[in-house]
Parts: sequence; structure tokens; C-alpha cells
Amino acid sequence: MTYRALKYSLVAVMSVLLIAAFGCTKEVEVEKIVEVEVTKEVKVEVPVEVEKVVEKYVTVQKEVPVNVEKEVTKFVTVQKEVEVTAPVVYPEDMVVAVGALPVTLVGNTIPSLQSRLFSRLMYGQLAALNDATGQVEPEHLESLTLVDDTTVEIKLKKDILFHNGEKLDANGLKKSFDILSNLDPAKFTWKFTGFKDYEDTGTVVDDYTMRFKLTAPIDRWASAFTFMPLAPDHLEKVGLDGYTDDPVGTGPYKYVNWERDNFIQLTRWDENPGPKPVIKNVKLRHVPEAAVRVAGLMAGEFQVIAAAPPENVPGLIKDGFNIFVGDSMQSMYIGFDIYGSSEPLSDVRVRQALLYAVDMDAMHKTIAGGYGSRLQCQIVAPGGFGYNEALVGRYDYDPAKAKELLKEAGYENGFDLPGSATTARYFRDRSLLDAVAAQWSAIGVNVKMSYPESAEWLQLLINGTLPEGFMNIGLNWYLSDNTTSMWGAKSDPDFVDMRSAKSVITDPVAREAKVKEIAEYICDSAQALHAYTIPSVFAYSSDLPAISATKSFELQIPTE
Amino acid sequence: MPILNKLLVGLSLRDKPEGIIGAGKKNRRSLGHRLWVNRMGVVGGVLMLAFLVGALLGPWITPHDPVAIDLSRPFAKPIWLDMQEGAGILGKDNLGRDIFSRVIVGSRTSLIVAFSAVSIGILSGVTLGLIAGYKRGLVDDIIMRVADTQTAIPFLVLLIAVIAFLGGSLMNMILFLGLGSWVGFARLIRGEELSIRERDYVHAAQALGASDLRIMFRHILPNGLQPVIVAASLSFGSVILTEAALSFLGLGVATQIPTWGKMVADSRDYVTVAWHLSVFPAVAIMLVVLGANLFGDWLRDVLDPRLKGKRL
Repeated sequence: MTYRALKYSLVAVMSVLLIAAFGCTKEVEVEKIVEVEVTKEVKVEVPVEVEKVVEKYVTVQKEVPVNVEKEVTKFVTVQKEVEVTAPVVYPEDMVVAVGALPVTLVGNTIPSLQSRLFSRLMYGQLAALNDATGQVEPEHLESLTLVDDTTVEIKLKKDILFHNGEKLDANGLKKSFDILSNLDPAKFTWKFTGFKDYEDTGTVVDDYTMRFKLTAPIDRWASAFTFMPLAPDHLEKVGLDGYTDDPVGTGPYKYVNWERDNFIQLTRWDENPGPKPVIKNVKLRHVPEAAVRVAGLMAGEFQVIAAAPPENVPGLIKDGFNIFVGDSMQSMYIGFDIYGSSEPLSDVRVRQALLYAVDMDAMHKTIAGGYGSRLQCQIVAPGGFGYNEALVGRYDYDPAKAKELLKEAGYENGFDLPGSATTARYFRDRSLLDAVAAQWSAIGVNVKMSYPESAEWLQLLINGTLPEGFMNIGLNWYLSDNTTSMWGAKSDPDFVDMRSAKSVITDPVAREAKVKEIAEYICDSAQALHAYTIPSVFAYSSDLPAISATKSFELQIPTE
Repeated sequence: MPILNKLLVGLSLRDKPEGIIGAGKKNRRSLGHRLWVNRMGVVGGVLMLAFLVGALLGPWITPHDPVAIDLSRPFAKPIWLDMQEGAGILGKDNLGRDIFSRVIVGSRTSLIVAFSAVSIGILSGVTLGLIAGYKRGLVDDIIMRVADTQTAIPFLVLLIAVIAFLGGSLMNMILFLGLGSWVGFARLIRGEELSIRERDYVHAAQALGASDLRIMFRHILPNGLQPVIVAASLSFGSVILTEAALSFLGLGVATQIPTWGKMVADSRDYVTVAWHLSVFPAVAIMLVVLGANLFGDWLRDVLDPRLKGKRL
């Protein structure tokens, strides 16, 4: 009896202590404090006067007084403040905690946000998208020229090496294109399949020059050259699958080790002819839970965390961590399968009702912490190429109107809507989809959501077997031509025609007008729910250099 | 003595029958004294009853819609901590949903799974145990060896693998949790049966030509059910914990309706800024399991003849 009472009392006491411990959790104050340390080194100049002591000994029969000169040291202290800029010493190792790792390390395969996070550390590109101008500019190329409407000429730089010592030249590039073009297309990116607009894999003009022939004039002719060169001899020897186990690139870091779903280890390539990053070793660790990433950062286990939760940002700043918040050209998009098995979705009034039922402004503020840019019924954010201001406020939150539209469409009592949501793949993806589902439930739409794990979701997407109804994805504008890419087994023929018409317009003004027209069409037909751009939110230790990311989520580490 | 009588005598609501030590004495103790004497059972029973009522009446007694979001009040702390209007008894979660309402509604899934799974476990375990204990020989060997094999496999790992493969529907979870618990009940009833089947009344029934089924279910089962009932109440708590663990791992019932385990799992990302999101569902799990264990302990004391007179 006594033992039992003791046992239950212990349980009760522990419960109370647990609740009290949580109850005493400190409030996180919303206060931004930026501390700047200035190191001042005080040097003490000490001029020294030295008087020598000289002893002379003279041996005489009788005592003779000896003059002794003593050495006397006088110290005169002069204090002078000297501001010294101490050389910055960065840690050798940097561990980056990320929510999801890429499923493959081979450049140009599966253009996921996760692969872009690390790929530019290991791979250079023939040409790269300039965030500021939106133009594709040469990187490993000397020049990238549209010789005429259908002919492109590239000239390679002469000093580009791969990690294994191979040299990048036109013959090697052609070889790698030929190998890749004969492999399973499902393994390639939308970038590489951009070569489908070309007649073949190009012609070698000389050791560093190639020419390519377009099948027809197209606006996005340059995007195919954002290609990450793969070492041709190594690729030929091991094949694409072998390349996964031993990837070789031209980037500032080279591959060391990879444990799937655990970590990727890279080390600085010291023979890189280009600028060298200040951090020697980079490890990307898979940590799906945001709270664990934050805890690990505070404990010193990680030096950088990706997708830091907005609620934790004030606390992290207060604790001395640095924060990088950047916008991106990756938009959180919830697509409707218009031609799928969910009959209600085929009615534009139903789709419009679903858009009116969602308070996306509040979700952007609460779930995304106001980071990123709120999308206005189009995939491009304000300031982006083709942004259509006329679409602002087109579907402002109006649940009454949503119910009215459902009633008009004959779904007054609602309907069941299947769909899928990603988990820990994009910034706050699950929370957003849960909130959207809750607001759809409020107008009578009964959401049946599935939450496939990240790698499983990607495979379902590639196979085209995601549950019908709706799905979410972080869509890169550039990859989707700055127009919404409609999801589903069958594409809207009008959209396809408009997009094809846009692609042959070379005049940028006319092209932008076409992009706006497409955006308006997608918006009017309510083919998708556009949420906000996915922000890059990195938190990192104060002893690191300024970490940042491009608008395509490519991690950037300062160079020496 | 039939179980119900034992319970009523245990609660001092009925006098001990003739032939039992202490029989004939009127129980003149007050209700308060009786409750104090049986306090563990009372506490356990009250806890269980409270959650049961909450689960049954959930949709009608929740102050707010458990799935309705309120993005103007994310992470609101409980009103008794923060005095913020509209914060709710237990506060709000990351999407402004009322935690108290979600805890009440969450109890439905947990209790449905627990009651159903334990019932399946009892039905299957008692049946197999009775057959094994009565028939003996090869039948007994086969059943007990199957039980041994299942015991040797780590049940939670097996359950995770099965549910990950077949999907986390309510039926799958109830079925597999139930089938996982039959072994304990089978062993218990078989153990009781091995002694009961040698008693005179069983021999008498056999001599009178009663069928095996009648002997098993009419004579042996009622007299051997006590440890099974105690085990059932104790296993109730462990089934709730297992269901919560599966929900936490994302293998629970795939539905928008909240479950306690899922609430704890979803709150992991916010544990440093909003402790109340994870603590209250966890406390609910703890209280139900505590209630089941207290009630089970009390039941064991009441039904155990060796403890007669000590408590009463």
C-alpha cells in the first residue's frame, strides 16, 4: 500500500514539475539586438635604455679600488591606443542542418530545392541565372551568343578543370551530352531537357567552341546552358548510376562522402583555379524537425540551419546568432487537377470558391512570418518579369462568396476533396496545407489529405502518381517560364497554346505582355492557389562569414 | 463469488454473502469512508469516466470547432496564464485552433482504438486460451507456440512495419493492436483453466454429458475471468500509449480530426516557443493511462481473494 502510494505520488510530483518547468519557459521577447564587436588591442611601447655593467678585474698585489660600471635598465611606459584589425579566423568545419537532402548528387538531375541548396557548392555551370537581371550570363563560358534566330554559339573558358583533373573542352562537353541524351529521360532536369528545343547535342567547331541549332526560334534558348558540366571520361567509365556514388564537378567543393538521408560531406577543392571559399569542410546534415535544428544551433552542434522558424528568429538574434532572410523565385503553389477524377474541380466556380475561401494574407503573416512575397494570383512575385498588377486582390478572402459560388455550382452541401501535402520539403509546407484544408472545411469541402514522406512524394511526382485532387509544390519561376505550370495528367490546351506562342516571341516587351496575359488566364480560370514565395531563412553562428543564398536557394559561402 | 458481487462487496455496497468470512455484518461505514478506502479505484474510475464522457459528447461539449483556425491568435497561451481574451482554457496552437477542444475530440480516436483493440484482444485471446487449456495436447502446443513466437518479435517494430505497408486507417490500427494483445489474455485464461478444469463441478458437468463448448463457456470462463478483466484494464493504458506513439510517428489514423499523438508530433517544431502545444495532449495521455492503471490496480485488489478484508 505504502509502496503504491509512493509510486503514484512520485508520478504526480513529476507531472507537476514537468508542467512547472514548461510554465517557467521564458518568453521570447520580440526585440532585435545587433551587437557589433570591435576589437581593440592595446600595444605597450616600451623603449628601453640600457646601461651596461662592466666589471674590470685587475689583479694586483695590493688592493686597488675598481670602477664598476653598472648596467641599469630603465622602463618607461608609454600607453598608446592602437586599433588593430585582427585577422578573421573562420572555423574549418561548418555543419549545415537542412530539412531534406537531395535524393541524388549528380548535377542536372531532379531540380529540387534540396539539390540546389548544395549543388552549386560542387558544380559550376556553363552559364548561370543572374538574380538581379533575370538574364542567363556566362560562367564557365567566355561567351554565349545567339548567332542568328536558330543558331547558338558557345565558347568555353580554357582553364576549367574538374575535381579529378579532367579538363573541360568542347569535345568532352559533346561527349557528355551524347552520353546523357541516350539515358533515361526521367533522370534529367527540366534544364537538360531544354535541349529538346535543339536539333541535336551540338557540333564541335574547335577545342573550345561549339554550335547548336534550334529547331525553331525560342525565347528561352539560353536556359539550356545553365548546365552543370559532368566529367566526360569519368561519366563514360562509371555511367550515370556510378556517377551518383562518385560525383565530380567543377565547383569550389569536392565530394567526400554521402550517407543517404543522413549527411553529405564536402571539402574545399584547393586546386580550384577560381576563388576559394573561406570554410574548408562543409557537411549538410539531414534534420527534418525545425525545433531540433534550432536546438542544435544553440548547442553548437550545427553552425548553420536552413529554414529557421520565424518564431525563433527574435530569440536567435538575441542569443547572438546571425540571420539571413532572402526572397526567392520559388513560389508555393497549390495546383488543382482540373481534368482528374474529382468532378467538382472541373467547374471553374468551384475552383474560384476554393480561392475565395482562403485568407492567404493572414497565412503569409502567421505561417511564413511575413517572409517571402505574397503572390497575387500568379506565380511571379511583385517585381518579377511578367508580374501582372491587374491581378492584385482578385480573390480576396470572402468565405460568403465562396459558399455562394459552391451553391451556384450545385455543391451547397460541399464535397470530398482528396489531395496531398509535402512534409518538411518546403518552408512550413505542412502548416500551410493544414490551414488551407481547415478553411476549405469551413465552406463544406471535406479535405482528405495524405502526407507522403519527402522522398516518396518526389518519386510519386516523377511517376505522375500523386493522389488526384490537389497538390502543393515549390515551383521555380525560371523553370516554369514565369508562367504557372499546370499540374495534372492532361494540360489545359489553351494554356499550352499561349505558352507556345510566348516562347517564340523574342522582343522582351512583347514577351512580358504575353506572360501577363497567361497569368490572367490562369487566374481567371482559378487553376491554382498561389501562396507566397518560399523565403530563404538561414540562422548561423556569429563566428562564421556572412552566409547567404541566391534566389534559387543556392547556398553561398564567401571566398578569400 | 460472481465478479459483480465481488465488486459490489469491494465497494462496500453489499454485505458479504453467507459462507464468506465476515458475512452477516452490516456495513455501516459512511459513503465518504468507503470512497476513501477505495480512493485509488475512485480516482482511476473518475478519470476514465471523465474522458469517456468527453469522448462520447465531444462534438457537443467542445467550446470551439477543433479544426477551425484563427490566424489572429496563433500560439495564444492558456487564458489563466496570459489573461488574453479568447485564448481558451488550454490556449491555441500554431494555427489558432483551440487546444482544449482538440484534446477532447482527440480522446475519441484514442478511446475508440483502445476499447476496440482490447475487446478484440480479449475475444481472440480468451477463445484461444480456453481451447488450448481445455483440449491440451497438440492443440495446446500449437496455440502456445504461436503465442511464444509472437512474443519473441518486438511488437511495436512489427506494428510499425505492418501499418507502414498497409496504411494507417482506423480499422487497420484497431485490428493489429487487438491481434497483438491476444497473447497475454490467452495465457491468463489458460492458466486459470488448468486449475478450474480439475474441479468437481467441471467433472460433474462432464459426467452429465455437457458439451465441451458449454463446459468452457458456462463453467470455466465465468470463474476464470477475473485476471482477464484486470489485465484488460491494464492493457487499455498500454494500447492508448501505442496508438499515441504510432500517431506521433505519422502512422496513425490519417484524418483531419486530431489525435493526441499527432498533436504532440505536430507541436515538435514549436516546443521552444509554445510549450503548451505539446504538454496538454501529453498530459491527457498521461491521465488516461494513469486512470486505467489505477482502476486496474484497484480491480485486482478487489477481485483477489488473498487481499480480502485488508482494504474492506
